[in-house]
Amino acid sequence: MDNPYIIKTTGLSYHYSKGAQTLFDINVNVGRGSIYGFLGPNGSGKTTTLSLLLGLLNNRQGDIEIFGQHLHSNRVEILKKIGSLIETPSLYGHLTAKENLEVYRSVYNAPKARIDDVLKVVGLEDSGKKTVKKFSLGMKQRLAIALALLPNPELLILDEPSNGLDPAGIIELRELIKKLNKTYGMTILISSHLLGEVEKMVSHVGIIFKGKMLFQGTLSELHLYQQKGSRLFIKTSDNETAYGLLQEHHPELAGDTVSVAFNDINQVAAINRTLTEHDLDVYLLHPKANDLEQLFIDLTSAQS
Amino acid sequence: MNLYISLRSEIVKTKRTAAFYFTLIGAAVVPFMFLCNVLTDGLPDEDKSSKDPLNAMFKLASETTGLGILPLFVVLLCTLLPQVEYRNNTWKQVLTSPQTKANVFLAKFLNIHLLILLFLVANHLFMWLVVIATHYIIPDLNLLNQPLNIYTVWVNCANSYITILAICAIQFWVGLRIKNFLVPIAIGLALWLTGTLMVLEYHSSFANYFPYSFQVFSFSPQHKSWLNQVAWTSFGYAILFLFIGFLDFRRRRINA
Repeated sequence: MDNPYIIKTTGLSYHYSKGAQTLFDINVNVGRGSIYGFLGPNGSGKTTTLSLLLGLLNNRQGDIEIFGQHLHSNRVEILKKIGSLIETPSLYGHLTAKENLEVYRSVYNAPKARIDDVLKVVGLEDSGKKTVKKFSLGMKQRLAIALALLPNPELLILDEPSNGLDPAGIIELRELIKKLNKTYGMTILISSHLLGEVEKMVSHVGIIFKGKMLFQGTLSELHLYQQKGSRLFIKTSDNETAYGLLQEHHPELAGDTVSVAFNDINQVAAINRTLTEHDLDVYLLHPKANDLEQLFIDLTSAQS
Repeated sequence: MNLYISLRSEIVKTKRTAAFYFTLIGAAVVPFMFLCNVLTDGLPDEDKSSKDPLNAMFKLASETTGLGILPLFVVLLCTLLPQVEYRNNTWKQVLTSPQTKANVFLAKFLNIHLLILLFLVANHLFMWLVVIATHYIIPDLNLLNQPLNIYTVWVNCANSYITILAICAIQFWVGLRIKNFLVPIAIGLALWLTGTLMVLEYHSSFANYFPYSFQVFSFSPQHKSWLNQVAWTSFGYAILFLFIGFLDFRRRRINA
């Protein structure tokens, strides 16, 4: 029986201390070969979820399956096929880039040549004898990604990997992630609190807020959700009449504003014509295109 | 094999750490004091009057090292090595790598023992350098042509190592548990001082069971009869505290 999901959590809940629940019934499904954007504002439970997936925390409730195996009974075998970067880079400041990778090379049973390969992938092949404490934050971040790539993983888990990177670094990282997915078929789970930062590379999205999953699906499903959410806000000299005239657009009357759903900007012009042709004065015509960033804010703020 | 891989990883991490440098510096302290003494005042009085100055030198060196330097070095080492992970914020990378917690824990403990062994070997090598230097500074002693009682040197060294095992396991647990660098050192120093005074000043019978007193039993003639029992107690404590330390390490949530 083929499991389409490389990560599957069922009813995952967690609390750090009694009475302070951090996660509620989290069901994350990450398909093989996908780039899954795990989104949510700071403190929403992303790092806790990823820590549970990597066995850093013992799950209190629910089940975690990775590569079709239960995490807690096959932890070491599963971790052999995962590369990870959780929050800030975990590197030894007194060692060079190569020595940092050497610490884990045997642990992952990687050949010696793999060290040069991954340093080349992240552009640190010339770091030489410089110790990591002398690296810039961007270089540290790239070395941490090299460390995550060392085992040639099937699954890469990156928690806020663009923290501390400049705009050029963020673009480089995005291209690298796309390349790893496309060229090596790696499944990538990447968390971020900025939707705009990941929407250009992910195929799937999960949105978490206050420990609860608000949305999970493909990026196109999110776009569909976005289109449904786009609305035109109208104020006229007679909102009751306007409400009657725009019945085909399923209007909503709230206070002194009528709002209707719309799909493209031409519809806005057509609605304006309909209103003026019926001698209504139009004071406000505000199309609120529900871009992904807005949708993200709406999804998260609707729950707060 | 997996434990060997984890140990290898720990050894690579130790490169250029303060723990590694302290091992060599700590091993050189007593030989350096000897050398200074030879250069300024000749040999210490008890060595001068001895008919066997070479063995007297090694005896005095092993006593000074075993009673004071080695316990303090172990306290420092057991704090410095776990600090490598805390200071670099690397615990999460270690614990998300494919190693069992038992292997990580044991590899760290074995790494400490490798450094203790390096300390003891380096200490004796440095002592030999001092002996060679003394041979040329005070040619009358003719030190290099005198027989060294290697068995006694070995027994003293082994006793120092075995009686220190209990302190090592306790301090290793404390060092892993407490993120703050100063607390484990303060605990270790206070207990070492208490343990040493308990035997030498107060002649307390409780010292036979107090791990931080055990190092005295190797060298104090009036306590030598208890050495065998104390060595076994030290070994037993080491196993016990290692086990407790591991249970704590396995259970604990590592945030750094």
